[in-house]
Amino acid sequence: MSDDTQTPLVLEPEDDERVALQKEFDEIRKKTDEYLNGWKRATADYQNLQKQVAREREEFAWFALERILRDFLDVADRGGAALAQVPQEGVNDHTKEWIRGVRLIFDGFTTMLASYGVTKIETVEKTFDPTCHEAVGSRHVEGREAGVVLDEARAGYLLNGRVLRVAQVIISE
Amino acid sequence: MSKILGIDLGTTNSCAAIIAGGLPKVLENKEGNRTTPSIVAVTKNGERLVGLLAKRQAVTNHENTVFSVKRLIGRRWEDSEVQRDLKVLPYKMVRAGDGVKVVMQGKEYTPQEISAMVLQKLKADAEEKLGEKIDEAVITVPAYFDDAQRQATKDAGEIAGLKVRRIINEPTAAALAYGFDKKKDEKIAVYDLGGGTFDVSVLEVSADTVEVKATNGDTHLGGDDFDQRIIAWILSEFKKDQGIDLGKDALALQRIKEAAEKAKIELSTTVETEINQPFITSDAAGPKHLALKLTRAKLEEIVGDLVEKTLEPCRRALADAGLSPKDLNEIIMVGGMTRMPLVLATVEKFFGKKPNISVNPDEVVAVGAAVQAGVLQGEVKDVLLLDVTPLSLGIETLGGVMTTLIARNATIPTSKSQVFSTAADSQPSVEIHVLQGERPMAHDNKTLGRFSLDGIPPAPRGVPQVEVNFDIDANGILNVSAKDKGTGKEQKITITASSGLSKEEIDRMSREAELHAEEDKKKKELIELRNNADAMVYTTEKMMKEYGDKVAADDKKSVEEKLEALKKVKDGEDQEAIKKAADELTTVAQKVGAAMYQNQKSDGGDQKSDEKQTAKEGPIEGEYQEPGK
Repeated sequence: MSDDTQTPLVLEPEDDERVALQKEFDEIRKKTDEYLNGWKRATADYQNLQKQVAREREEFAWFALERILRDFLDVADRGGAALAQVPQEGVNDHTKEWIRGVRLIFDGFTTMLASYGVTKIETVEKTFDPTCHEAVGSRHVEGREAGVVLDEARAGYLLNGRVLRVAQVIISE
Repeated sequence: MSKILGIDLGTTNSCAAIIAGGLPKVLENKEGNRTTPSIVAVTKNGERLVGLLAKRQAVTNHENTVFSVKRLIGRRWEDSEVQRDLKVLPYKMVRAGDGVKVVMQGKEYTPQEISAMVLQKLKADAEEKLGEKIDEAVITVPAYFDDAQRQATKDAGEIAGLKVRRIINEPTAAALAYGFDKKKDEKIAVYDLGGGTFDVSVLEVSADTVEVKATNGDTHLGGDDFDQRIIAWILSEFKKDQGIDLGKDALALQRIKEAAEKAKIELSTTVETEINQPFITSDAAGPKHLALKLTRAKLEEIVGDLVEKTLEPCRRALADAGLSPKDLNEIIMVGGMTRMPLVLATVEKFFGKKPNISVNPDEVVAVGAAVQAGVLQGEVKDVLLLDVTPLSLGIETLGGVMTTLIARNATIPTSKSQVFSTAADSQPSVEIHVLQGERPMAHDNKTLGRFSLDGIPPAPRGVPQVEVNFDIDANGILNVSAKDKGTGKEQKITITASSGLSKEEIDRMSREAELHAEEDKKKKELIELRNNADAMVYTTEKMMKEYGDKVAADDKKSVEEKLEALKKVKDGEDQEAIKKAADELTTVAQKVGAAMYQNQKSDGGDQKSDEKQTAKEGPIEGEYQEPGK
């Protein structure tokens, strides 16, 4: 179908060939789109994984610290118990100084815990709150409404606002 | 496509898991724990508490705190189990038609409604954790649950807003968690010792299902009973020792309860533990301390009969299934108590094979439910399966050591680069000896190829920078290149996968690496010591050559002495001697170095030329090349 006045510079391919090439082109195009999407998805997954790992690493650091500090709380308990039962009678000056020294050690210990962000959970006279209190006993007090903390059986602590260990309390019935 | 939640709705504790990235993942609840107590309570203010929060006030609100409701769900009032629980459970239960209802703060609830509250919490916490809505679940039930109990469990799910795609048996879920459902014709026993109940089941895997052939157990035998025994022992020991019965002291009892559970858990990994509770109480004579040692042997004596009690149900289950222990292919452990060495040993002895405990026994049922959920969700589209490189790849470095660039089991395609340097002054070329294997010494591994990069301009050792790059493409073809960053000169080599190793060889090499791990470690340490010693000798000699005249005479003498001493031992085998000589040389050399700086400060003037030197000193740590042979 060439015009006599113009010589085509390029020979058009046969129709069949053209259709075949077009088909092949379309298939290849489809494949490359698929690959590109797959690549984007994989890259996105990887970036999401990096973010997740960063989050988990932070969580883990907190978790590890939490475990150690929680075990230290046992020491805090016992120090507290010991200091609550300091003998008063028959104590000479030597022993008095020794007791004072133990008190200083314990105070230093609680200061150290505070420096890590450990704070005590408020209990006595507060409304019972199961998110930070565990009720281990109750008793009836005349004229007292129920669900108020009467005594603290074991101290509870927060670590940077999150519950590190619940306080064990006695509540009013 | 939303996820289906796999839920283990247990008598004492529940657990939820999903499939994430093709693998089951247990979801922590809002409190950060992987299991949630199956407890519900209503406070005097009408507030509803579920899980750990409910547990925390159980002691002071036991009439309105419902636990172990699984014992009642789907049962009729006349069932012996219900009648027994009536006497034992501290909360109120009433007859409702044929069935049972529980009462909290004067209001009645069906067991389904109670379980639904637990399921609701698991659902809500999972949605918060995943950031997407969850509408469907797979929930597990004991194999002995009848239709009524199964339907009631399904109802509980519906009430909680979950479409229950499937109810599966707990032992079957455990088998799914291990992938044993693929092992056709195999027979599996599941030994489930939880907090309050013991269940044993015998399963048979057929072409497309896992069939429960027999079940047996003891509905009132579990970890709690073990704790009670330990507590009783502690109380009796203390009474013997101090004459005081701590059982009457509620607060002391609380301490002891926690200590008993802690001790029980510790004795699964140690043979002896201390129960240490100072100031547990006091009397007129002063404070009293609880300090006991509990050995594993003693613990096993205290609870031994409880473990023995689990064997009779096992015998009966096998008899019902018409099998003997040797017919079983696998034993699966479920429940935290199965971690106890005595339990594991007893089970192994009874069944004659080692039980499977690699999947966390507290979570294995939830994991199995998640696996089932994953199957129901269907295949994830567009997942590309990638290979991993089976053995480590690297090059030989100074001392005949293999330095790994790509560790084994790395997913491919991947690439890794590292910069190396020369080992000797004016070294003109480096040889890249490409190795594959796990042994620390180069000659114990397989050589994949060798090539050299030459034309390295003369420079002191450790100065040239040769970047070695390992690149594995998706077809497993390895390209190794070495480029001198100074000249830009580069050489490379291509190693096709076929020049690697077969599966048998890979297994063999991994095994050998484990076998020789100790001696290989020593060899490598020796080489590294020697390399460090060489580097020390080099730098010290250089320092003495350049500044020798500025150093005090006796300092100079002691450095030379230590230098000689090190030179003598460094090529020998005595690690201790080399380390000692190196340390001694470091001490005197540093003294000299420090003195030099002092002099510099006081001299001031003619130190300019010296300053130029200090910049390029010090070989690159640890990474050296064997001089091209």
